[in-house]
Amino acid sequence: MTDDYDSSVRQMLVTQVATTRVPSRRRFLLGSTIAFVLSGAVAGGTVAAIADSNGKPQPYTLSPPTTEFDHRETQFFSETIVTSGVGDESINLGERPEGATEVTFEFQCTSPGTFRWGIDEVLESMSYRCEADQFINGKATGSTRYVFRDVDAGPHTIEVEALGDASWGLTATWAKQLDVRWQTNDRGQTFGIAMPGGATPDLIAATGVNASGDRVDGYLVTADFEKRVDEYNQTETTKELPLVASDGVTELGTYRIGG
Amino acid sequence: MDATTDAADWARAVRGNGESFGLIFDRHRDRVLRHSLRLVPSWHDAEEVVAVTFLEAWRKRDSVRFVDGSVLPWLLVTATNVARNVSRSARRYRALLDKLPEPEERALHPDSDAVAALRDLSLADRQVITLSVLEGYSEAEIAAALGIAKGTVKSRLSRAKSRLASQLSPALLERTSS
Repeated sequence: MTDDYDSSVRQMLVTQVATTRVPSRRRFLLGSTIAFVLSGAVAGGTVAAIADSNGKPQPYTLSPPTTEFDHRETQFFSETIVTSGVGDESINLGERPEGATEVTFEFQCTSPGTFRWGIDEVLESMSYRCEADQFINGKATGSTRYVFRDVDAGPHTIEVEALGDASWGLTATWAKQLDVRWQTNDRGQTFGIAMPGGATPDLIAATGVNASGDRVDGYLVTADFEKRVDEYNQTETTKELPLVASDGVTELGTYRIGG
Repeated sequence: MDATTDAADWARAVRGNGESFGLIFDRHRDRVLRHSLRLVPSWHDAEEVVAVTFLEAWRKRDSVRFVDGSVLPWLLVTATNVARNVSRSARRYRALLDKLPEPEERALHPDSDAVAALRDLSLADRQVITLSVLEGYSEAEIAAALGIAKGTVKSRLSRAKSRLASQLSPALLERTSS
């Protein structure tokens, strides 16, 4: 290969990888896979515009968190900001409420593109990329949840950077994590999130996708999950598990390890 | 060494580390290019096969197969698939590829009878014959790279060799490496 061409191909590949949304590794570490519970304040949803495959806008509802967030027992301290935009934008979060320590944040692309975000002027180093083939019937098949931790007292903003004027929607809520408590179902199985020390219930809470492609909260059989996580960590190839209700039996959807 | 390094770099790449993917490219691009030069008629096409092969590796990262920890056999299979119809395979990446500088065109030696005969094989036959005869992989390694049974590899190899035999000297088919 000629040097110029060779180095250009290499740079193109490196950029492709670096700008592709990758699954968060924390999902696959049991000690922090947590999910469940909650109390919550939170206002109703709002509608963002989403373009279908012909570029025609379609209504799409981005819902605020109501019972849980990012698999963590969380207490909310504010109404949820639900907003949408095109291109770069700054969203005012207001003053940090008394007792809150973090901002929970769910991001949904509404057109293909590459996005970054951060608190105030500091963008996170990761980027989130939405490919055209992630849209089914005009609806993006994925969103991502993120938590800005240890946010100082005072007023703050979320900065969104959307390359190429791509469009997006988001929710953001002032919050704080709570202590972990497990419950027990009729079959005697404990269910909930992992303890901070790493102990896990029989059924561990997780968020997957139902048959319609919508996000759904449920539980995984922890022993099966641990086995699949080991396999994933060995092979880095996608694994799927059934997502069940807290009764440990009723199937709600599928949980995917690795994307 | 490649196998261990491939697995480690691949794991880092799928977590978003672009440079790790670059290292995999550095490690295998020459073998993929050499492989591609046997399958397409021009240097330009071979260079494009290489670029598309690595782009495909990233797009299909969830289904990439490792053979003894090495991604090279999978890359060679993919290059074989891409080379079958370069322009169609490249269509998905045309916007990216058009941003690359024009590759230098180099003269190639005229195709040998063996290379010319390869292009007449079906894709399935070409996959096994290139990995076996040109790259020297075992039937078990080819089975792992293609995700098919070892017996299927054996029968495809037998069939492909039979088809080539009518055009080539038997000595050529006994080569195990290039």
